[in-house]
Amino acid sequence: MTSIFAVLTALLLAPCEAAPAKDQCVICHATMGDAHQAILKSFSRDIHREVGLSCSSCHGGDSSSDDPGKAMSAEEGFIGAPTKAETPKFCGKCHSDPATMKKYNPSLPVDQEVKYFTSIHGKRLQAGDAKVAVCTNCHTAHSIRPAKDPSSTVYSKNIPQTCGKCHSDAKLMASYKLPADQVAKYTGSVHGRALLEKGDTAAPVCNTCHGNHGAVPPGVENIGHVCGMCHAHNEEFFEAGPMAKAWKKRKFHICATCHDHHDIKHPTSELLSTGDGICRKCHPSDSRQVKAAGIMKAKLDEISDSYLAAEKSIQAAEEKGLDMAEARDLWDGARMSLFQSKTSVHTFRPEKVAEAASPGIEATLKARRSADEAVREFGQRRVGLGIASLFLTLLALGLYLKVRDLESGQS
Amino acid sequence: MNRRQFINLILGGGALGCLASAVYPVLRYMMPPEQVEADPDSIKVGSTKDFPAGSSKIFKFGRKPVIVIRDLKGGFHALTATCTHLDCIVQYQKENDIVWCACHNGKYDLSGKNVSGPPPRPLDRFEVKVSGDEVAVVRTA
Repeated sequence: MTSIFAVLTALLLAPCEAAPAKDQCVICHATMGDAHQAILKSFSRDIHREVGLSCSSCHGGDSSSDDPGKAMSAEEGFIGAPTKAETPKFCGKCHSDPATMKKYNPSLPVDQEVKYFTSIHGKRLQAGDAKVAVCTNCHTAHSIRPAKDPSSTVYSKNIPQTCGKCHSDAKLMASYKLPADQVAKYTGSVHGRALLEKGDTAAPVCNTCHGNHGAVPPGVENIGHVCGMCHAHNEEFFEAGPMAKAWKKRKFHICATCHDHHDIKHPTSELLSTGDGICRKCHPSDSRQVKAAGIMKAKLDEISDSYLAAEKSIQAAEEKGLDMAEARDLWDGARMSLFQSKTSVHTFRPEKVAEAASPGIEATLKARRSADEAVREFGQRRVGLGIASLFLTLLALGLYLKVRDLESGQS
Repeated sequence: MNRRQFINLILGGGALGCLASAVYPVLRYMMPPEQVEADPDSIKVGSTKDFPAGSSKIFKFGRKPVIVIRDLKGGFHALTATCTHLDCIVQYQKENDIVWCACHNGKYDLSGKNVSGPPPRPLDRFEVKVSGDEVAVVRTA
């Protein structure tokens, strides 16, 4: 069985080879043990294979020679398998060279190696730490697929698992005094659920905030910009508001102080609770800041409750088969207002929250009235049908009695 | 009331009720509730004076919101106004000459192509026809 697979692998790979026509690496290694065959099998789907590269393109040597001594000699430029420390330069031989990359993928950046050595991984590698991630830890060695391919280890949905190979390893992380629960926390976060449960591949994943090749934890001063890449208004409002200076003075993480980082939950108005809300961490209960939080919370609750009540009314009407498209439009429009009012909290000004919530509250009330009216009309129609049926029965009864009366008069 | 009068009352009442049951829906049909056209092929959105260069307005095209943009060079564009990420309403950013979604910083160019941020797909395009002063948005084939 193994030999059949070896021959098939050789046949599968050999004709695809750009140059040379006969790839002696494949022919020989296909007859070797399972580990060799597994590499050949996985390499058959590798992006490098697809663009016509072969073993010798990376590992050097003479792939046309059937003499192992010659094929894998230093004279023929054989490099063999690189060590971990050698890997970035090994891959960078092509990936850092614009002239080479232009031949295969001109739009691909050529700064991965440079960025890698600015990362924590790269710096530790340079310092002699062989446990850190190098290119192959994230991309694999012989099953490399483009990042947009769902089967790639660096496809957005697969990134938490890829990073988690090391970062969820408690023993390994303990040696760096790092927690190993980031991936677990991320998985339960609003972003993790959007990506992994709802399939929103636009949701941020590890490398969105940390960078990929240049992976580092975002600094205290940068995190607002990182979150602001998507939450632009939140950052803008916060930076223009009264809290930004105080935050910077105390070296608070701009967003993470209230929202956490890996474990970011869907924010609810409870964050603004005057009892145990987030503001109470710094401000006393009778402060104007906590009072303002209470006012903002009340307005957010008002629009949220109104939004949910409208949805309930619309659903009740739709379950009766009524066309609620107009009410749905109003309700959809109110969602925008709900978003905006939540975003306006970052101004820390209750009047701004009220201003953003007001159109939404109005729209949801209108949608609710429209749905309730439709349900009421539906009820009226049923009553009307009952009354009409009653009159029809009465008419039939009257006709029957009249006919009998006429017949009895004749007799 | 004798038996004959009672029968006539039942018959007359029944007939009158049946007549009313038939006439009432007809009258209601004559006064339909206010509703937008479900799926129009085009809508008039105003005159060219309503759209100075670098401005935009949102209209209902049937039941979907459409953003009509007049760019800084005077060209018209019409796109669905619902972001393809999470259905927020997009807006025209005059300064950058782009369509922008405030919810998660998604950006589209004026042809509707998603160029930055989370939106996974482009916005649908509509044709804008200018006839004299009148501006109309037309569904593309």
